[in-house]
Amino acid sequence: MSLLSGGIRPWAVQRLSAVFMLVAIVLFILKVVAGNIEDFTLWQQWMADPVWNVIIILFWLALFAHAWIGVRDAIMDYVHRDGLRFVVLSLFGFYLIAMLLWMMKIFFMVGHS
Amino acid sequence: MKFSIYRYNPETDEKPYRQEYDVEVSAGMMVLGALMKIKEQDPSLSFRHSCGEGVCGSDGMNMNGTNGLSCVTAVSSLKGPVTINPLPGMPVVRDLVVDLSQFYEQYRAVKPYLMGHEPEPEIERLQSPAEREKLDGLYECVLCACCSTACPSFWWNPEKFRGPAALLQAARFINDSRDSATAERLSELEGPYKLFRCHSIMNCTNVCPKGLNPSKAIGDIKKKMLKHVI
Repeated sequence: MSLLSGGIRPWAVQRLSAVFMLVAIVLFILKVVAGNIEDFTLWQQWMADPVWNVIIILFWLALFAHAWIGVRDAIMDYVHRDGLRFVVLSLFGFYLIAMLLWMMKIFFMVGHS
Repeated sequence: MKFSIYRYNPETDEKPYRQEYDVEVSAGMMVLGALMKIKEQDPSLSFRHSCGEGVCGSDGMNMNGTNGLSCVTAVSSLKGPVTINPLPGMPVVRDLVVDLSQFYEQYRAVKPYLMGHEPEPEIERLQSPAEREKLDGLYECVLCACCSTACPSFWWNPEKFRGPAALLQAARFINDSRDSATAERLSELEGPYKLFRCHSIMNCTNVCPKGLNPSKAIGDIKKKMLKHVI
C-alpha cells in the first residue's frame, strides 16, 4: 500500500530502482560486448544462468516500480479532481499489470520452447 | 526607463491590463524607488512595502519574470522595459498586492515554534555553538513568499503541498536541538503531498532574496525521514 499512498517509501524505491537499473544496464551491455554472445545458443546459455535470471527479474520489477511511482507523481501533480485521479491511476495500474503479465508469459514461453 | 506594470482592481476591472510608465532612473535606484516615483505620477497603483531594506519581506513581486524583493533589486540589474507582475499563482487583491492566506496557512501547518514535551526548564534551553550552527541558512527566512510562489509544485497543489517556505521552517525546527518533536514533525510531513510534491526544480533557491536554499533543506528533511522510517 505504501507505493500507492505513501511519501517516503515511493521516494526511496524510485531512487533505489534507478540505481539498480543503471548498474544492471551497464552489466548487460558489458556482458553482450565482452561475453561474445554471437548466436542464439550462447544467448540461451546466458539466460539460463540463475544469477542472470535473478538480475533480469529484479530489473523488470524495478522498471515497473519506477514507472508506477513516476507516473503516479505526474498524475498527482496535474490531476486534481479526486474521482478523475482515481480513474487515471487505476487505468495506468491495470496497464502496468497487463504489461507485467505479458512479460511473464514471454519468459514462460521462452523457457518451454 | 520604461516600466510595464500589471494593473487589476477586481472591484472595477473586468480583466487585468498592463500600464506603461516612464521613470527617470537615478544611480543606485532600486525597483521599489522606481515604484514610489510611479506612485507619485499615479496614486492609484497599489503595492506592499515597509522596511525598504530586505528585512520585512513585504514587497515580493515578479520583475522581468523572476520573483524578488523590489527594495533590494537594483533597477540597473534589469533590462528595460521592466515588466512587473504580482507574485505568480496567488489571487490578486489589487495590482501588485496578492492574497497570501494560503501561503500563511501552510506556514502555520508546520508548527513553526519550539515544541518540548519535557517539563519547562528553570533556565534557558541552552545550545552548543555547533548545535546553533545547524540553524544557519534556515532561520533567516523573512516569509516574503518569493520561493513558494515561484514553485510549480506549489502552483499545482497549493492546498496540499506545504511549499518551500513552510518546509524551510519545518527544517529549521527539525534541526533545532531544543525541539523534542522531531518524530512528530516528520510523521506529519509523511504522505505523497505535503513534502513529496517537491521535485527539486530549485526555482525556490534561485529566487530567494536572502540567498537561502529551501531545496537543500527539503532534501535534508527527506533524508531524516528515511532514517526515521528505517
